[in-house]
Amino acid sequence: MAHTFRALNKYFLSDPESGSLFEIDELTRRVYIAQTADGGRQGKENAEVKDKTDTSQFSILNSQFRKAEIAEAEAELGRLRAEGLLDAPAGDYPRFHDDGVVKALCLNVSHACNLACEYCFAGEGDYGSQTASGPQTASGAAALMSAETAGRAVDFLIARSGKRRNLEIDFFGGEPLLNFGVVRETVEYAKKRAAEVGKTFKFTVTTNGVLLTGETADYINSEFYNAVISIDGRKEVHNLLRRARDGSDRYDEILGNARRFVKARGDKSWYVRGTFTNRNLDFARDAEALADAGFAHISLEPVVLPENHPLAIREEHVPRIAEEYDRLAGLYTRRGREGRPFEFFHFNIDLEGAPCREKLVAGCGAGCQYLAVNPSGDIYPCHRYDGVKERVLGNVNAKNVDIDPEKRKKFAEANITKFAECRVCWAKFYCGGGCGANAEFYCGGRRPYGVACALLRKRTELALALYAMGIEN
Amino acid sequence: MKHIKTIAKAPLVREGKSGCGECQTSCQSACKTSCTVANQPCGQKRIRNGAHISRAE
Repeated sequence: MAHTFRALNKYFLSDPESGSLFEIDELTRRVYIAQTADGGRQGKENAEVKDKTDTSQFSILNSQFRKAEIAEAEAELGRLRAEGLLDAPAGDYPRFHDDGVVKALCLNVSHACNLACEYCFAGEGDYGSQTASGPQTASGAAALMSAETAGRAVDFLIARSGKRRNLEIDFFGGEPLLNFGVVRETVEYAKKRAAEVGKTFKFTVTTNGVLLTGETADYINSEFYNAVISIDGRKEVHNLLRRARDGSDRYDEILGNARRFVKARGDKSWYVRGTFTNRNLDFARDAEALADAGFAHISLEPVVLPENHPLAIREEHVPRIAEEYDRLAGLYTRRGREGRPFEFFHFNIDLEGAPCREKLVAGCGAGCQYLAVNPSGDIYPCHRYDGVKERVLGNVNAKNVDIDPEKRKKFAEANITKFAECRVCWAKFYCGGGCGANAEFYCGGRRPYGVACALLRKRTELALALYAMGIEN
Repeated sequence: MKHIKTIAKAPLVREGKSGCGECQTSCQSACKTSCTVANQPCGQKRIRNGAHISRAE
């Protein structure tokens, strides 16, 4: 059944199985709700259109609208159904054929960090100095990846990439620029190997910006396809949780580094990425602060923490956050009209140029196409699993790197058909089944992480409405 | 149609795209914590909405 929603003062109908999107008037929305009785709400197993209409809903409609108009709306909805554009039946989802290919690695080159952000899922950046099979430093300090291990990770990726031409490496941490020498060495090695085997690497770095200066910044601007700089928005919000280890305020320094960096970046991809917690549910102001500071490519992400954490986003916060996303969409359109636009990562969508159905079904590819490697060479399903010893899939330093096929299979099968909640969700093809790590860590792997689902659905409604506005303009 | 305006016509059931795998992995983009795949472009095609903003600005 299609999903009806109101966004940016307009009504829409989104058909989950066909991907069709319609802008509708209020009458048509009411007629569709009456026809499908439960109003497009989530949670019904039966996704088929009911034969019977809800007579009480139609009675109300008949008292408020002219019969001829109701008949018109019914006829138009009927025409869309006949064309297979509305209430399309669930087809056979393409099964993800796991051919053993790996196309992207997240290299956690540093388990150390020069900031100590309270909400960091990596335990303030050092991952608790956990390694499953590799060494920690003698002092017990967090480990940095060696150039040898990084090189073996590159070899592993190339060896496992099959026919894929475009490969990706994201340098992550902790703070990856604390190990910049290895980052640079790895990039140069990967480029050399890529030239030998006829492949292309796209490099990304996720950095807190403290060391994004001078030659380091120049090198990243020259060699990296994408750069993500973590800044939370307003100074007071940023400083509340993204403090330096010695407690000092580094905001102005980071902002200055980021401004200089993006100014020199040309047309290459970059984002300033913030995290919001329950302390700044007014995060549209943070987006505005970042846009005012001159950053045109912004991503703000809800913090992901256990429910009992004092900063956690919980179900009770969802309505307030939904209002704030509305505010953010308003800011987005207003600034666009004023000639001061900014891009918000989660409002990006292109229904015509969207990924293929295979990708939309399979999601992020964690555990099979996308893997993470920690400083000791341990291979994890993704960066979120780093340190979870039971989830280690292998080690790149092993003589014959072997990925446990049973463990890999478990991740390869995790797609939008895994959970009942996903199968009936109107937004399933927009999220690809959500984050498997969230589902495992916060819901015992039995269901998707509902808070993230609710926020995804809200962001998607707004993205679709903005897409529709773009078509009109 | 008088009451309904079509914005996108069944983009999910079109033939022609077949999982070549050359697209960007979603977690390598900007989020790292909240999975969204629909805002990833297919191959080299740029996305709508924010795509009008030059990165050189």
